[in-house]
Amino acid sequence: MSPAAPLPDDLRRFILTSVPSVPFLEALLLLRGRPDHAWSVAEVARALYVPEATAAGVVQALRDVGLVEPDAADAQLLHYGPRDAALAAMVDRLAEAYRVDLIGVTKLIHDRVQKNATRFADAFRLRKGN
Amino acid sequence: MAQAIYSLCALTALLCAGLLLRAYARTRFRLLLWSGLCFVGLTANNVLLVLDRMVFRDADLGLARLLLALGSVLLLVVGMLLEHDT
Amino acid sequence: MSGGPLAPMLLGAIACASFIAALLFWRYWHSSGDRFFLLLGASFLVEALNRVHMALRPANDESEPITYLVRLLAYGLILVAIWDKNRQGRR
Repeated sequence: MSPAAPLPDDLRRFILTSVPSVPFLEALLLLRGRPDHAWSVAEVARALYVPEATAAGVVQALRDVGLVEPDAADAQLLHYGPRDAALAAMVDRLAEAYRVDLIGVTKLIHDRVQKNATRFADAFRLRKGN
Repeated sequence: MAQAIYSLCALTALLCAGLLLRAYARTRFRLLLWSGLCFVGLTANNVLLVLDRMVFRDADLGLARLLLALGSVLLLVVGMLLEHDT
Repeated sequence: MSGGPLAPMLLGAIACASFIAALLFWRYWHSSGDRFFLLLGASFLVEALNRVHMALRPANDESEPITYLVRLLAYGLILVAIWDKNRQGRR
């Protein structure tokens, strides 16, 4: 299999700054895969084969960044709900990149040095969007 | 001349400290706290250098300045080495 | 030398710590490709060399031109790094 093309800069930045772990990403893609379905934390835990505590943490993190929303009918359930179109587009690209280059994306998620470097360098951006 | 340059250095360090601590306030990444404090120390180091000559003529702030500089850079190095992913 | 008998040791310690900081910044440069870290690392390396020079010249306090010009270079590199990062719009 030929090596996948390197990830584009903005997607790399998104992964480094916004995707803290692989369970987070898998939960995100899980919910995105069935946007009409309202998930419970227990269901997410079962689908990902992780302990419920892990799933709860991941789901909370997804809520905090505006990727999932509580269901209108039952607030204990959640569904995929990106807070704006730009975020939705980025997640779509991320999903595709993960499909095509799982190892590359996973390595980036676990790359602590790059993560810290990005956080440090981002502090020196004087204006947003730079 | 020397004082003008060290004042400029102090302002540069202050800018770095401000940017890093502002980012820490927003993101809570501890690496930014340690490095921000490092630049606070370097700002103080340069300020003391300017004052050493102008204001405190009788006191020798040399030792204090060296300890401050050492502490600041150590804070940065230890921060970068020990900061783990949250 | 101002700073008393501990000054040479402290200067050496500062130089060493600054050198390590430079190496850590260059590790960030290597892993991220961001030129910002190359410049920041260079800044700390220059200051490390400055401190070594100060230790070798006990009569020197920071009023010597060599010392403040080198420090100007070191901090100038930081300013260039920040300017460069914000100029390009990407990265």
